[in-house]
Amino acid sequence: MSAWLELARGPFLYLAFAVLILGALRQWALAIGELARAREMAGDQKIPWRWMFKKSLGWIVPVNALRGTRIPFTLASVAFHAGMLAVPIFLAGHVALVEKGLGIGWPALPSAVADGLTLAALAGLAVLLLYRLLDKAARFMSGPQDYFLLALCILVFLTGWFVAHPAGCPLPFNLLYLGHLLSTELVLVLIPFSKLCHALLFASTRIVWELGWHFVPGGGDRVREALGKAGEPV
Amino acid sequence: MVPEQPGGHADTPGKGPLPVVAPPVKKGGGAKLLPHQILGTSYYLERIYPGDKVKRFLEIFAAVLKYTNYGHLVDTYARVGAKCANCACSCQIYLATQDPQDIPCYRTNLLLEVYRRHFTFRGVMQSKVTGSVFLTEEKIREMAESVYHCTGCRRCSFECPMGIDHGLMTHLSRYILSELDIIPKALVVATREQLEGKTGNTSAIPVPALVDTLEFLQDDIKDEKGVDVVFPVDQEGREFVFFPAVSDYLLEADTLKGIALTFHAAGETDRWTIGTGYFDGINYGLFYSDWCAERIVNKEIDETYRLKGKKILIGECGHASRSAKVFVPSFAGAKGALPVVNIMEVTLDMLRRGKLKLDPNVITERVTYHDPCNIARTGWIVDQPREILRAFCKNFVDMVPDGEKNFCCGGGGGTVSIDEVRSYRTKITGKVKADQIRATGAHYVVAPCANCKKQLREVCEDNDLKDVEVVGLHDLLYKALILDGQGGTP
Repeated sequence: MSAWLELARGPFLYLAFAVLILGALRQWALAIGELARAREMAGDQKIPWRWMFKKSLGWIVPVNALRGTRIPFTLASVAFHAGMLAVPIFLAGHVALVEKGLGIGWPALPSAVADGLTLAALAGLAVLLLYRLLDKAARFMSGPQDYFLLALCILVFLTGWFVAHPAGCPLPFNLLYLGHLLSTELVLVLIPFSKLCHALLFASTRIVWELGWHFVPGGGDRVREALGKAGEPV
Repeated sequence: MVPEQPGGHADTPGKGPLPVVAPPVKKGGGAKLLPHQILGTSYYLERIYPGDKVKRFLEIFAAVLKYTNYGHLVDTYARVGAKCANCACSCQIYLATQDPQDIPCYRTNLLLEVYRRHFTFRGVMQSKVTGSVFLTEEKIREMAESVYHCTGCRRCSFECPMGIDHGLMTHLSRYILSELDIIPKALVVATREQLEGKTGNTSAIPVPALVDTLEFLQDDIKDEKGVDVVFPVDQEGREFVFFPAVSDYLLEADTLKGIALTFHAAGETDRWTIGTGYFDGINYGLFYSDWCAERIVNKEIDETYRLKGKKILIGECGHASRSAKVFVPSFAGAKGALPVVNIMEVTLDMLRRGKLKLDPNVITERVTYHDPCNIARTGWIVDQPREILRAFCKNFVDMVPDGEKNFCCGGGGGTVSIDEVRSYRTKITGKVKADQIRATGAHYVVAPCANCKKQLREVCEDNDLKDVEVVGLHDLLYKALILDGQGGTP
């Protein structure tokens, strides 16, 4: 067990971060390159930055969605994402670890706030899981990957909670700790390679949408030429 | 996941029967089948690609990814799609059918999955290792039917947390299918006449007939209003060159008379003209083909330049307005692009400048307004028509929901022109709209869009809304405008 723990705390953790960082750089480089290419090809190169910024912000702070039809879904989703962003970075234990390892530190959340965020995230994840299982449309759309990633996130938060509050948990501390490390590392590794990719590409999806409608002059003709249909009537 | 009978909804309760849809039949079997029977679509096809459809589909997809702007879009969507099905709650088709195959994300995923399996490293490797080919004729068939169930209203785009535009994905799927000759016959026949026919417009109206119609409308106005109103034809150097949905010349006389009378009443008839070189605002390219969209929008641009006009003026038509607004800068370059305006913007401007006097005692019945998706969804034209209507309709009520989040009439995306799917349009896609209209208790439903008008009339007919009259905005203005002397009220 302790050998595994050493691996998970050392090489695996560095490896996971390396994969995440390299994967993210690749995704961003591709996204920027492709966006530049799309803009270059488009006849209309104007991009309404303000509109897109507003739209993106609308999803980060989904006030409008709170008037919508899926209020529990929205609340659950926001609770989970808030926890997912804040707790890993600002939990006192995490900050202390980074400070010890890299020598850089930043202010941490009070532990009561971190606890609250963790519980809210867990509750949110539970609602999201129930929603996938019970809502007809969501159940139909869900594949193994969707359940797996959801379960993985639940595991990260659940083990994290018990690592911070080991009292009362029947499982040995080291097992919880190992579970927390490995599940977190798996999430980090999967971000660039799964639908979790939206964490990296969120900012560009609105530009992608906008540029998608900026069609390419002569594009239709070139497609038909390539298909050997040049000059053919409608 | 793969439906047993992609051709129809016949097995699902609550969905009206679809006309003549043969179940998919294997090639080469039995009696000669029509193209749409071979494919099993609920709409008629004119012809069908005779070779290997799967191979051809992939060739087309590859060419589209290479020569257009869709590559990055598809790639991003294929990566980020979370399959949360949040979009389902906003889709009026899903609300009516509760059929999972009508979830917008499911429809989008039909194409994204082809991309993942045939155009990404992981997918190609997967196919090599397992030896399986993902795309099949069955899947093409399912997509062909599915993308013409969607009305392309883009209401779902408000709900996607990942920012996926399912309307654009429907457009792309239809574009790829169109290069495989899978296009509703109704759309392709009209587009062919517009681009390659003698008359050069979708309704096949020859120029002499257009001129006759305009004279007839002028006489009509003279009889009804006692004023000499002119439809300016081929006048050079005017501010606006006018492109209505050309079918208006055949079907929506009151709308056109209203527009002419509005210009006349404001004393600004010299601001606009109709061109005999080209006079059709309809652009079915928006619905299924980038290739056609570009050629059509270029006809509008060319005619405007021929007449030395300064702006492209689109009549009461949602898709004509949006296609011109988006495609003129897209295809002709944003720099120096001709501005595109909708007639309601011009009318509101005249009203605000005090050029129009309206009688508030003419329209006493309850009036409601239907937002055509193509002009309202982005918030472009939402408040303008309401401001005009409130200026003279005492009893105006809005539908719920309205504006950007309105429900589609149910005939969007060109489906309104496909007569063989009428029962699907009026009983399924138009069901929510019928309920909305009924709830307002309105007599007049103002729908400033040729497609919406045709669809809503059929929706009212088929949903027992007998007391409802579907009109254009300028139809009501025609009734309410006060004319004194030569027009141009102080």
